[in-house]
Amino acid sequence: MKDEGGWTRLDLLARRLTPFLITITLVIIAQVPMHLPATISIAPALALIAVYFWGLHQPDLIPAPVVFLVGLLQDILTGVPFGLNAFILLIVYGIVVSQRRFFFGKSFAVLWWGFATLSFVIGVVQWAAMSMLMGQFLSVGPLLVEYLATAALYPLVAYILVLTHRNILNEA
Amino acid sequence: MAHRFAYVFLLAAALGILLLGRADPLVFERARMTVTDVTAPVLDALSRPAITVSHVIGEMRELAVLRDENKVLRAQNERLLQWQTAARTLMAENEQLRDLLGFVPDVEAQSVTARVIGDSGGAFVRSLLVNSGKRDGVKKGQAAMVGHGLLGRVAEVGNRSARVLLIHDLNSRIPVVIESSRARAVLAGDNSTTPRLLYLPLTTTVKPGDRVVTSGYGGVFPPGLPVGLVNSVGEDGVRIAPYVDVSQLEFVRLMDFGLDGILDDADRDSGATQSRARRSR
Repeated sequence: MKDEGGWTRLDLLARRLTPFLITITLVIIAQVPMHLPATISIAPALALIAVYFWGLHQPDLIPAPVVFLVGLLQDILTGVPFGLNAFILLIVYGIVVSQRRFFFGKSFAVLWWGFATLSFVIGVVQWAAMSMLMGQFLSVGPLLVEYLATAALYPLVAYILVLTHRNILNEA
Repeated sequence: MAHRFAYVFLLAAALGILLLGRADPLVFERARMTVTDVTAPVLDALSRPAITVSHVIGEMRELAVLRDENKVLRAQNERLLQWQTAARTLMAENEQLRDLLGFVPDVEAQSVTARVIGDSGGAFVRSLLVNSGKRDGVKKGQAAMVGHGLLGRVAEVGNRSARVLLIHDLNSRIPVVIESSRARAVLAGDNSTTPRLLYLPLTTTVKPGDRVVTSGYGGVFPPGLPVGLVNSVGEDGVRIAPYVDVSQLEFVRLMDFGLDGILDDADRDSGATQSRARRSR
């Protein structure tokens, strides 16, 4: 009986950790060179999708400190100024969690639209912040490509996350 | 309430880290390279299947243009053979002249070939992660080359991974010279595919197609590494089309020319005296 309690707890822990691990995995996958036939290779911001998704559906599975850590990992792997993604992801997380009521029960298209809008605004903020940090106006092209790639990948990533979410909920 | 406090605290922490890192970029370097080292094997493993898929697609595309390409290559081969003869003659002549002058040759370059395991592809940063580090003899400031073109320089070194800052990156500044006119300039990345030439003397004439090579100023790179061709001369300055195509990189060569123009961390820690001594050397 005691043993079974241990297993249950382990199972619960694994379930609670899944969203975190998936988000970390997405951060790493985004870094893998895809060798696409393009002049500039752009890594989509997959972690942004995950933070948006979990923030919307079940923020208690990735609390703010986890979002912070995910952001730092992304900063390290992409080589951007340390703290940038941590800051950006926390902002997104904060907005999404506070707007959960609005998105509750809305269709997938609305969620997608919400993501596209939010990531666009974030993109502009990010561009302004980086331009200030670097002391010059940065070219918008690569950022725009990254934004479009991320928005286009949202359905695919969200689908994987929905499956995961269902599994965690159903058997917990 | 506690949640809100934690959130605001983390937000402030992220902002603080951002500003601190901006003020002193080396503060977090060790942490960065440690984490990169840990993830390097994972990235290494993941990059291999991606390469395989890319190879298959690439091969199919190549099949389609095989015949045309063959024709072009034959013509090129003929031209290159003529150049080879010319080069041989010049090399022999050069050697004799050097003998006459008692010329001291440059240190022969050593190189480490590293696999590209991470491509940040970010909108703000143009850098690559490679799977070689200190244990393979990679040092900060080394030139990263692909084929015969300059790709960038090693910016951070971990134990088994390193980050290469591409010449496209915002923070990249490379002293170059225009081969034909010998006009010196600084090649500055701006995250676009065509970096700009800064500080070009006003009196020089530049035209598209001019070759741009490193000048060797600053002592980081040796003179004469091919960088690219002048792409456009216009309102927004002179732009370079680098020889290296960044999107299809699989392996890079990290060159050790025996130069130490960039101070590494050890020098930085041991204070200014040593760095002064080094500079005067």
